[in-house]
Amino acid sequence: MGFIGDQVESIRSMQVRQVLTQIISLGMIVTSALIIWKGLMVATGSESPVVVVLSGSMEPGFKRGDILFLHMSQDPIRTGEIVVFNIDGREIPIVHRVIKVHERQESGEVDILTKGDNNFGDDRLLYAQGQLWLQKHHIMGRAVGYLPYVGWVTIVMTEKPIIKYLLIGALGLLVITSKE
Amino acid sequence: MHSWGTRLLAAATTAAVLLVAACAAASALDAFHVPSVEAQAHVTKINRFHKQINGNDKVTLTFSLSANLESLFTWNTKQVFAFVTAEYETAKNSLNQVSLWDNIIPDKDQANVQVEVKSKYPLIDQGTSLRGKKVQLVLHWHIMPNAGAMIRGKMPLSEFTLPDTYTS
Amino acid sequence: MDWQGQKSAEMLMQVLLVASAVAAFLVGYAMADFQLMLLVYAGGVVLTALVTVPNWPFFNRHPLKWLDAAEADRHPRPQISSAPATTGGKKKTGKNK
Repeated sequence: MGFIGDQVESIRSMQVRQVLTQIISLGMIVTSALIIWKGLMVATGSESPVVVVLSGSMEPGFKRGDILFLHMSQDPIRTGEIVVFNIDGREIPIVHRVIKVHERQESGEVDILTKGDNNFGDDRLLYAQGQLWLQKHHIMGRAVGYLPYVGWVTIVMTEKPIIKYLLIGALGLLVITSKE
Repeated sequence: MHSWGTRLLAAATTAAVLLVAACAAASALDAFHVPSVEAQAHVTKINRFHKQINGNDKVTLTFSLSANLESLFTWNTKQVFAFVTAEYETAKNSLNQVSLWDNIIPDKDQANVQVEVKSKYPLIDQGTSLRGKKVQLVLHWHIMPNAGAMIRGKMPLSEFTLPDTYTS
Repeated sequence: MDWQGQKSAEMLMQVLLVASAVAAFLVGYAMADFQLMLLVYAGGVVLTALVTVPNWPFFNRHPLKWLDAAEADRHPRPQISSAPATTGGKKKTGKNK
């Protein structure tokens, strides 16, 4: 009997109490994932602590499918930092490098200009119509850590939803049939 | 551990956790790496200095840069992003940082930089306060790892003073 | 795979993986080559999987010694009667309805 046969057999021999236990353990897995995510949000101060790079505009530093860990500290933003920002009227956040900073004398407000390492020109064309600078409220976080390739999982899952459902189904089955 | 499926899953999970741990350890070692960068830069020529139509001062300048960034590279370094900014203070802004030149260094062999930079990016002010302004050139670097934390660093280079009048 | 085999398989898996991770890290650091570390580690993982995932005869050296069927017949399991009289004064009776 193979692996799949084992799983089928274990489903057949289940009882109500066991089913309930498995549902609870499934719920524990989902909630603990949620707790980790929310905990990261608090620890990093950024509303999305981890982002997946979707475009090649920062190559060869970041490729499509790499993930970045963000941090949102109170430190002022300086040139060279890689920030994730949201443009009004655009849904997808952009990860680019700060190339110009102008910090006001009294209020401490900043005007920021960004550019992708792999792009020829700066980002003014990407900004909203007539927008010349990014302000602090556009910035979602600054990239502090990097892991290659891990983000491909989410890219594949968003682009091919069938794979997502297959994966969720398989994982659920595994949790339900595991006997611990 | 009773079926090959559970054993395979257990092996894959443990392997992934250990891989992340190894990457974290490699990145942690980088924190103890103390680089010693040597660099000089001198402005050789102010090519053009004028007021743009929108009212901002704009300077294009030429400077020579020699920088040895080899010591920034460790075994966990994928590339180093190096750039030079002009930094100055004005009545309006407590800090202005404007990139004049940048370069992606993919390999230690190319980390000894000797260039004559002829206005890659212009120096544009927010306003008209560049005349007679003292400007500091600063070399920055941003180390991007194979995996782990990114490290930034900087080093002030020479200062120069812009002329009191526009050139055109 | 018998009980002893499962235990030693898990043990072996963890020891081999940790050892290959440490070895890969040391090799990578010594040669200052990140890619080499990944290759060495990948080799270690494949080796571990080959050793511990298939059901090798090595893991089946301690079969459980079940009682003979004939032996079991000679010592029948004590039967629990549902009749209240035979269970004596125990309070279980209420649940046996």
